[in-house]
Amino acid sequence: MIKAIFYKEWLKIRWAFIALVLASIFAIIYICLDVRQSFEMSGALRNWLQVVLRKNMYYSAFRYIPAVSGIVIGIFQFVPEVSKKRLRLAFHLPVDERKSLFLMELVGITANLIVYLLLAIGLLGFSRMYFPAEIVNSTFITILPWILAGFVGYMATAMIALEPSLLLRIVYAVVSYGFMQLLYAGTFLNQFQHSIGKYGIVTAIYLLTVLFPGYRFRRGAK
Amino acid sequence: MENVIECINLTHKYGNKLVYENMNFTVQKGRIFGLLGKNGMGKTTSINILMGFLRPTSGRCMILGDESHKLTPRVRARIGLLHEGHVTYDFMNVTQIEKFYSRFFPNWKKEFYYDLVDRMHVPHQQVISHMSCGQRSQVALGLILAQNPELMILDDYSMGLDAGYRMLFMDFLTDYVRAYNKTVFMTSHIIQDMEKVIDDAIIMGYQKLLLQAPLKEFMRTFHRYIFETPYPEKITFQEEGVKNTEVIRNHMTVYTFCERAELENILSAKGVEYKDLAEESMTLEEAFIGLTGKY
Repeated sequence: MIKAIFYKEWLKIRWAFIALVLASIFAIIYICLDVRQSFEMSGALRNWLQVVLRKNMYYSAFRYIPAVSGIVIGIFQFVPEVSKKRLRLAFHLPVDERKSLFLMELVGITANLIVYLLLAIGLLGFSRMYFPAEIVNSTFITILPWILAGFVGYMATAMIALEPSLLLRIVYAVVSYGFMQLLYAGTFLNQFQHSIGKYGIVTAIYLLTVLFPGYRFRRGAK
Repeated sequence: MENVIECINLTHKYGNKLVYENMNFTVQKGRIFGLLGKNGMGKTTSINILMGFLRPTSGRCMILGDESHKLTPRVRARIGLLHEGHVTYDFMNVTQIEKFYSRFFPNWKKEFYYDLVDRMHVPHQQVISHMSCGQRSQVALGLILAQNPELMILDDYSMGLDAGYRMLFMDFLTDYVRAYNKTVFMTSHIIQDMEKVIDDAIIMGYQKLLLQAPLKEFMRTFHRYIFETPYPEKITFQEEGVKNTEVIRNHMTVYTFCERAELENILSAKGVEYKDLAEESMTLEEAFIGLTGKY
């Protein structure tokens, strides 16, 4: 049964997932080429100063990719479920409804995680070739909130899609947007060094919230 | 006889708007039940309650021993649902959807599904969303037959189907139900199709259940009489058995559970002048309209 649910979710998101993986690879290649071009055009010293002293984020192209990935996978996964109330099909399967929802969510989270890991490994691996460990570490700390924003974007999309009430959809959208804005508030390197753990915990709690609109959908709420 | 569905004092409201009150009906094992009702009488609400997607405001609805809004996975496996519009996972193709559903049901009968689907000569790689409405209906029915459930709840199975597909659907369904002693609870807008297959009729009226009876009994006991009378507009009936009347010029039509002699007594007691009293046979659709009214 679990394999069948994974199979269904994969069928829904596979093209979006492949497109996001390709987009992530292109984004990393773009960042690499951009940095290399800067090194060649302006010289290593100037670039070094830009990064170390002016805290220039040479990977700013990375910034919104996780959120876009989260929202796109959320749309591909949950819009087909709610159009024509197709989620009723899932809720009639001989599987506990909460388990069904969590398995669906697990597929989305895993797909997003793969995209984020690809992006992070590509970016950090490339950074190690040009910058010292301190810069690579600060890059990691800086991109973490953006990755968390990706998960929040995914969950927000799922909740908004599943929620039957327009009013609650607006509430979820506003709360999620506010939380994502907090995660994007960083304007310089390492800004979240001491608070990323707390943001991580709040994001983990966010992962449970899909149960509420799912439960309301199940009960025929309006 | 074992009750597969049992609704007791079922009441439902949307906010303050009452849909129906204290509705009672039972569905017995091995029979085909048709739920009939005009638009807005609460058919969809009843189906949603039966399918477990709506909790009734009060009363109980038991399906195979479980409350309908708290069906356990084990009981859900024994119920096949056909959703209005033949909704399926239409992003899958013919093979993928069979593969998906087969993992959930231990008594899965793959051959039932392909027997029906292959009649349409559709390639197995065909994505369901690219099929016609009729073809999608056969896929949805094939999946339910393959599930091999004890109870099938079919919500407006005829929606969007032409005569050929409606006939194919009903032929397959009735053959299967009779052969394997299944129970069916169905709704449809096409009452003449239901007349051929249902054993029992449940007819809903405004905020209440008007009738639950075996179809043959209903058709035998419900009558339409037409007679000529000079002042039909002056005749009113308060009698329990008289359900509806229609007047066209000086002809009056009476829909009633009364026998001819009983109606004649009523007319005589009222001092009504009449002539050419005759009974006209009815189809189920005419009887349904006779019972519920045209408006």
